[in-house]
Amino acid sequence: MLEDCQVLWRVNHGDKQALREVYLKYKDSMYTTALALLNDYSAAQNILHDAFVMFAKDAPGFGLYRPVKNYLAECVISLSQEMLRSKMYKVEEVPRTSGIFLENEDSADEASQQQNTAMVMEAMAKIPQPQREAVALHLYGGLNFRKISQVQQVSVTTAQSRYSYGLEKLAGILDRQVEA
Amino acid sequence: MNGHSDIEEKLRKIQCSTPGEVDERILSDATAEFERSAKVQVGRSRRIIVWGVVIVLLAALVVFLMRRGEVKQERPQVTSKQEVIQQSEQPDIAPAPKQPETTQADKPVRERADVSPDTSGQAKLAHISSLAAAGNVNGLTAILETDDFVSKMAAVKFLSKMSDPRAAAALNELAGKLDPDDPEDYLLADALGVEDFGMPEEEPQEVKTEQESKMAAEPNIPEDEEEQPVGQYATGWLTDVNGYTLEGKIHVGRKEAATDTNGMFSIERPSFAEFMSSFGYAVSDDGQLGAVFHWRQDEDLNDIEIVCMPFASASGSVVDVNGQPVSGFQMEIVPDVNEQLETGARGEFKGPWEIKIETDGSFEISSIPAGYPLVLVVSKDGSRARIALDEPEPGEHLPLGEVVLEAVLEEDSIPEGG
Repeated sequence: MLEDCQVLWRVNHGDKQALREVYLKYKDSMYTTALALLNDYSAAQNILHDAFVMFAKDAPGFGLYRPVKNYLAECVISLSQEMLRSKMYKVEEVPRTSGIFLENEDSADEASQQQNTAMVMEAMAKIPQPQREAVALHLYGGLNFRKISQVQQVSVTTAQSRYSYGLEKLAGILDRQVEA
Repeated sequence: MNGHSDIEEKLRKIQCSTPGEVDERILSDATAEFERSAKVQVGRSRRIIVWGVVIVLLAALVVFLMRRGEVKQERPQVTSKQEVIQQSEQPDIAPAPKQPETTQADKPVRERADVSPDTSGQAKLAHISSLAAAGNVNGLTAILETDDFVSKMAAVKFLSKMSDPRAAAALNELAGKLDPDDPEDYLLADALGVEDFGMPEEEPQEVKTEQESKMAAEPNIPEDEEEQPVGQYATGWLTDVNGYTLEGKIHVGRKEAATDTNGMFSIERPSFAEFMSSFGYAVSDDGQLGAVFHWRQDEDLNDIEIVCMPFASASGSVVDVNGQPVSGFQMEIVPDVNEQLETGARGEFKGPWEIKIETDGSFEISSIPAGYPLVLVVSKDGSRARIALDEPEPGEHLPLGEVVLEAVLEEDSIPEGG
């Protein structure tokens, strides 16, 4: 938090390098969140782009003690919901894994990581949207249930239930995929 | 949620990353937006700073002006209550206030002994104020004899507020001594309320105290008029029938007032001592519209609306009982109030109408206000005719025909005519 505060102070004073640091720090978690929500790498990249441009716009007056992670996660969920609400976008169950670049650079594990990621994203696409949001925001966005409940405009218990049911369904789907 | 720890662990391992070119594109766009936003932010900050500075400067200016005003107000005040008491205990000729020792010895004595010979204007004013507060008429009168203009002006101001006859006498004496060629004396004449000061062939006017000057300032108020309490004025406005305000003049009793550009008037309340003094009329400046009205003594005379209408006119001729034209008669128009016509306290009422009488007995009357019952009264040598004009319509011409003068049977009765 203190680190964020220092970076934000620099951002407030027009330091472009600080802006870059913020981007590099949060881009992967936000990208993964968007990907988990939409199961489309291209759409996830667009959402990541829009979310960071929004942050850059607000950055000169961004509060030093305002959590950047929450801000970006809210942007991602809001943009994702907007995209889904437009009805022009449908979450595909079969992700295009060619766009997924994994953190692990070990070439031996890369193939299995890509496969795992593809399986998880495919499973995520099969669970209901509210549960998918709860899982993505908690696991990848790093939001706590109180914050998720605010984003989803439900009670904390409901957010926790959605997360729990989502995980249960995901476990079942992934088990079936492994068996298959 | 402990039961889901395995699947949670599995999911947490998933961490995707964007390609480098995507990162560069996003950073490029974000930086551009960041710069644009920063520029706007700087502009906004500058505006806030500029406005802040302006507000602070204005506040400082207001405080400065307020303090300056306070200082100015404090200056002419008497120094202390104790000094005033001391002055009042002194004989009429007051001693000079305490002076700086160095200047006193060196200065030539210009003033009389009873006038403060100091050099400070503020001290002089304080001295004069203390004299006035103590009611020291002689002290103030003595100041009028000096050559110090400022002291004289101050003394005149104070003396004019006093009701003491000695003050009035001293001011009258001063008014008589004023020189029209001296610019300072013009100011003194103005302070004394001397009208037309410096005009040729004018006797110096009697100087009045403040109350007398205030009364004299009121236009067209005869001196024998009953004194009115201050503030008892009738106010209102003139309008036409459409409600638009008019500029014009209003006459009530013997008083007259003009409206302002918004049609508003303020005129001293009538005395109600004579019945006719409570009647009045109004005429618009263009002379086309007018009205007659009557105010009761118990009436609220604030915000009165007087509606002016186009004048009516009348014409006819006066004949005797034999039908012969009569000349040399008197003609007047009065409000239609029988009982008041029979009493001696009705007074006079002159309206806006104009009466033209020819030698053959014919007459024409113009500018008769519409909407109020009026009576035309013709009289000659014990004969009289009375014609009710009722309420003339706006712009109406009343052909009255022959008005027959008949002898008055009883002294106080007025026979109906027409």
